[in-house]
Amino acid sequence: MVEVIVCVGTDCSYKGGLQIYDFLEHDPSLEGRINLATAKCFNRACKPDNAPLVSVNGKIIGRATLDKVLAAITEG
Amino acid sequence: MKVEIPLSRGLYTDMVDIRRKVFVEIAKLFWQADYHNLSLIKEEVGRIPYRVINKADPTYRCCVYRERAIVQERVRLALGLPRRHGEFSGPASEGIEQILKPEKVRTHEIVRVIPEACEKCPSKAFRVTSNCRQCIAHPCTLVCPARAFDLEHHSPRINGDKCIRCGLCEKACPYNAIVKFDRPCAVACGVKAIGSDQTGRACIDYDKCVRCGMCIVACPFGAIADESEFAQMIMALRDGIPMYAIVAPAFVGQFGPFVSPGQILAGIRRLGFRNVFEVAFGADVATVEESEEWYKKVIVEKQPFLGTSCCPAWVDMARKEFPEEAENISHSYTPMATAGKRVKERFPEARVTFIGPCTAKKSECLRPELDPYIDFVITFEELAAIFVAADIDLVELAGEAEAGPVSGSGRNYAVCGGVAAALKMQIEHHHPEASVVVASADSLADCRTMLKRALSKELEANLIEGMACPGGCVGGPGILSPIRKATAEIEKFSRNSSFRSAWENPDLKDKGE
Repeated sequence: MVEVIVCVGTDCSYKGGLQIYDFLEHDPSLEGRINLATAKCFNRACKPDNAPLVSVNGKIIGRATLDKVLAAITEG
Repeated sequence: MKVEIPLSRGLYTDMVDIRRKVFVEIAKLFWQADYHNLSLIKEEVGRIPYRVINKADPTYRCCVYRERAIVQERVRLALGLPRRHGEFSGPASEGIEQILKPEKVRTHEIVRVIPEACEKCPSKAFRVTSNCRQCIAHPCTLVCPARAFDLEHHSPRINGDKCIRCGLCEKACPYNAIVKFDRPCAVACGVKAIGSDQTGRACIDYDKCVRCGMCIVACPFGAIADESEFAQMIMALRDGIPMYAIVAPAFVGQFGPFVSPGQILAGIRRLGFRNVFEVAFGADVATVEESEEWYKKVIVEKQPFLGTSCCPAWVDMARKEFPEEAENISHSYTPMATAGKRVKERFPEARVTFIGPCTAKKSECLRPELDPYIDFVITFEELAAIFVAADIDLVELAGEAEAGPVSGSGRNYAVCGGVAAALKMQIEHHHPEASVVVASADSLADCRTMLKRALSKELEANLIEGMACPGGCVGGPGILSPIRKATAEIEKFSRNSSFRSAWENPDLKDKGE
């Protein structure tokens, strides 16, 4: 199982974090492959210009996009 | 009549990304810098296009210079600066002195085409695509009544000058190789206000435009934007002016499933507003007033029907296109105006900011009769940029209790059908003998059809509700959350209200008894 944590703080949500969460939550091909969770903040690592943040197996992805996150999940 | 919600709404596209980056840059600037320092503001405003487009190679357009020129125009609109005549004329900060003041600066024409960004999409054009198999039968050319096919080439081509846009070739092609191109902005416009200028770029006929903002979210190139005044609102907050916020019923769920309505209210107060109220209170007042108006006009005076008044774009469209039937649309104030008026009565020194999903209200608040009640109108998308600039994280805040007694039916005003449902409930309570037949429509095109049918007595309804946006206010151009999700959150919030109907609101002195 790949541990995926999406930051849902206001900055990360505004820059597209919510849409990434929404996709990961509903994509059937990811079912059973990932453990999806949310975080309120990753130690302010989004400041000043790094939002949205998603952590995949403990590695934080800055300026995350769905493509970056899916690639990281595939790598495991 | 519920319209289909466009699939593209609610996605985080590159277009949304650029718009939000511009909003955040401006919010940060005015949150941090003193707006009286003109030279600093000018310098920083000039830097914004370089911060938003900070790569050496273009991502979206032909070159970074054009990308920046477009961002520059977005910056100007977001600052509330007037549109300049002629293209690429001068620095972003040109004329900025006029808008550096903590008050309304906008004009009525708040929906603007950015000509530099418009890609001159073909308007109602038929094209042969690469699906064409160059078949022997080529029925496309045979059905064409205008002989518009050019057969000198290996594959058929349509001569745009001859084509009468009947669409027969599209239907006749067995390979679906002929498609109709149209401008997304013009398709989204329910009042047919979008045409072309002499260069082929989109232009807006402001006599027809009702500022619903649907073209803004429909254009995939982001070539249409609305003027903002959140910078002026921040200036007022920073000047220590007693600011009060009123939030539209659609605010629930806008910051995602992890932020409660109470946390949003707490966040707004954290920005420096003295207090924040739900516009849904104004909706309760509107329910009481409009239900009595309905009874008087429809039952006593035998008027065939009454149209609701809460959506300014719908009311505008109805009055512009059917001026002789204007009496059929309610004269009640919108919930925004009512809520603003109430705040100013209680706190005479107050300046009121309306926060909502709506661009039509940005124009509505400039009407002379409403001008005293509403000082600023901003969208949820602009509010979120200010939260980011002020480093306020809603998920970390302790939620607040409800902002004043508000009925569940008032909170449901944001959803298509909610206004009429609230009115019906109110009327049936006070006049049980009256029979209320409701019709509702969302999207302006459907609203027009509904109104026409009601006027020709084809539609049997005596209370008609019009909403310009898909799904109601919850589908407005200034929203953050996907429409269906937000609708579910609003309905939940409405159900959990401590009372259901406007007449139960203890704060309404005149309960329409």
